[in-house]
Amino acid sequence: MNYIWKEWLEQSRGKGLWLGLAMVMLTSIFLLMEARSYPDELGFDAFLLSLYDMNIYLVPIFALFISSFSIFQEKELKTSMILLTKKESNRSLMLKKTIAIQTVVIGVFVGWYFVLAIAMKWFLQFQLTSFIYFLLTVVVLLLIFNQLGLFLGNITNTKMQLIGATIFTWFLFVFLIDLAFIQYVPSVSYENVKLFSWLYFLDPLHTLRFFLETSLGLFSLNNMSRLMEKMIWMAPWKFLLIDLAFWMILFFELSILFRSKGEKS
Amino acid sequence: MNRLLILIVGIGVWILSSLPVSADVSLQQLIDETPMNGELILENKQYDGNIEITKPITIIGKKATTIRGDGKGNVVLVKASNVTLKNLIIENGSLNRSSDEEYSGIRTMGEHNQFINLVIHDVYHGLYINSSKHTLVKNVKVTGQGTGKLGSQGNGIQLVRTSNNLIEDCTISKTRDGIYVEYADKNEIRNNYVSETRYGLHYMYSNDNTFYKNRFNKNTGGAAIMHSQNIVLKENQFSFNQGSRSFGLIIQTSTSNTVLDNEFYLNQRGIYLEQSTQNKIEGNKFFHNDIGVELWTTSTSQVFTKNHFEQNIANVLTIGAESYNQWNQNGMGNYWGTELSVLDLDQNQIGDSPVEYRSSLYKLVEDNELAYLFLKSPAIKIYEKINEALSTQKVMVVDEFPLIEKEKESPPWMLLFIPAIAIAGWIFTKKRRSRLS
Repeated sequence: MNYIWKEWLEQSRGKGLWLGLAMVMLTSIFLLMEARSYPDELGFDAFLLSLYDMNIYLVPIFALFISSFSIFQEKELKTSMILLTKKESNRSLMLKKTIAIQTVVIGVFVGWYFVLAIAMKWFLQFQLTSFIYFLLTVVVLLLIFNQLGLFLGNITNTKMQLIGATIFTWFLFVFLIDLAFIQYVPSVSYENVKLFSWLYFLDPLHTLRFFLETSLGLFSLNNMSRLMEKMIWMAPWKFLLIDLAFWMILFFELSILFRSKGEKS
Repeated sequence: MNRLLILIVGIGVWILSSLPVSADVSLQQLIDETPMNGELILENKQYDGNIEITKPITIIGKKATTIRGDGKGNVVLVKASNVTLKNLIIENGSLNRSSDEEYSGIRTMGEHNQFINLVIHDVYHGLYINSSKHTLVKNVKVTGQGTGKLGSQGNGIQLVRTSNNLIEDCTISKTRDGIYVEYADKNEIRNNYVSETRYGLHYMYSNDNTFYKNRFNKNTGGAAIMHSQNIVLKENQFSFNQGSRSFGLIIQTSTSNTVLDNEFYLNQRGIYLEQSTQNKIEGNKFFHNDIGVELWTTSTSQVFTKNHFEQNIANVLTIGAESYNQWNQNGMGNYWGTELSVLDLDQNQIGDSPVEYRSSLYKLVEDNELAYLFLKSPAIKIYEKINEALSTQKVMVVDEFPLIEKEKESPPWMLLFIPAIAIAGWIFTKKRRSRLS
């Protein structure tokens, strides 16, 4: 609890969290205004999809920066060193820091989306279940990219390294991985589609969209071709759970394994 | 002994009194007793089916009047003409597919029959209009078994070998196809809402029909026109038809159809044309689809005019070898949004020079259907830019007379949001600083 309170005080006194949130708020409002021009029964679902499209760009970089700088600061200000020499093991420090960052960042985001829900209810045909599915995608997106950010903050030694690594990671997930997939797509056949499926659904951005679209009833899993049936061989929520566990455990462990001591002078 | 006798008699009376009363006259009997062209008003209760109507008659129910079938055939079989069914709930037909016929909630074979304000559920086909003419179907709600059972259930409203019917204001959901039309000409289908089906409207070997102001939402495919001609689709809305190779409207092996002033919103593909010729696509709005129009090489001589393309990932993709299609008529092309900007110095709302719409996505889509999974990816824009730089894009459309829309004025209050948030942020920061200091 102390860690969460400390994290909240640090984040709320800094500008990063609020600037990031302001970007998300502004774009959300513009998208809401645009959604009002859609036909009534489409407006809400279309708005949620547009929000997800926007979140793909903003949330990963926002989460990466906030969480990586938070852990980096612990090293920079030597607070982590003090904590480690006194009572904490490396693993328990990381665990507590992870919980603190995840709680604060997710709390702020979820808080904003509940405020936005009031506007959604006012302007669109609000559906609670669809909204909860959407909120779930935001939470999972934040969980994974916060964890990645913590890893980056842990392994880098200088701020320049950290900024470079953060931007590269964002670019990798948002653009580069898909460009590689697109190159590979023509060679996918019925025989090797299962492998492709694993690779495709291990990318959280793919799985989250798929989960959201199927949960909202927008993407039909009926009448698919044999290739697609073999491609989507498991329920989207199962892919999502695997993703969540895989990325969080992997980068938590890697953070501990490759932990660097702090900024080199 | 006497006591024992009294006990036995008592138990006997009690058992017999708890058995259902069979004194009620059956619905079939009520129908049989109603004179020709007479009116039968039913009570607000459940009647047992199945029933067969063999003479002209009007049956009117109340709010919850239900005809419940025995689950072994058609709940209501109408063999006569001039029959009207009104204000009824019809349920529990046979779902058996190994029988001689596919059963329905209502199967009608007469002429000039009317079906008004009906709710039909738990049946194979909802309403089956078979070899009859001049049927009116109005405000009928058909609900199927759900999307998980699409293959094992029938259609909402099915028309086979019939003509001159009017179907309006109906709501159909969770059936195999919403409205299925086969060998049926000159029908009018208007103002219906079809959702969560395989195809909202499925049309086979049928000509000269009109579809007006229907809405097809969240189906695997909005409407499928196959082996048919001279159909007019006007002012319909095809939206959120997403899935594995989904579409708002497919026109396949069909000619001379008119698709006029429809809206295609948020579909995987707005219109998909295959092996079709001489269809006219005019005044439609393609908005936020993955692909606005997908044209396969076997589709030629279509005319596209006055269509609006806006915010689609790819406005038009032509797949396969080149085919001839016309992108303007009588000097009127299409609206291409801000993507393809063109000068209009003489202010006549027609571009001063032709526009070319280019794309490289055709190659991806042609190679593998899994490409559709990436169309919404942010990487697609980079992929297109790379191909533009490498000159590997292909011309999809040449529009000689691109149309230009008058700029819409956005409400000025929207612009106030940015300074309002900035000011709020500034005040918040200032207050916090003063509190901390």
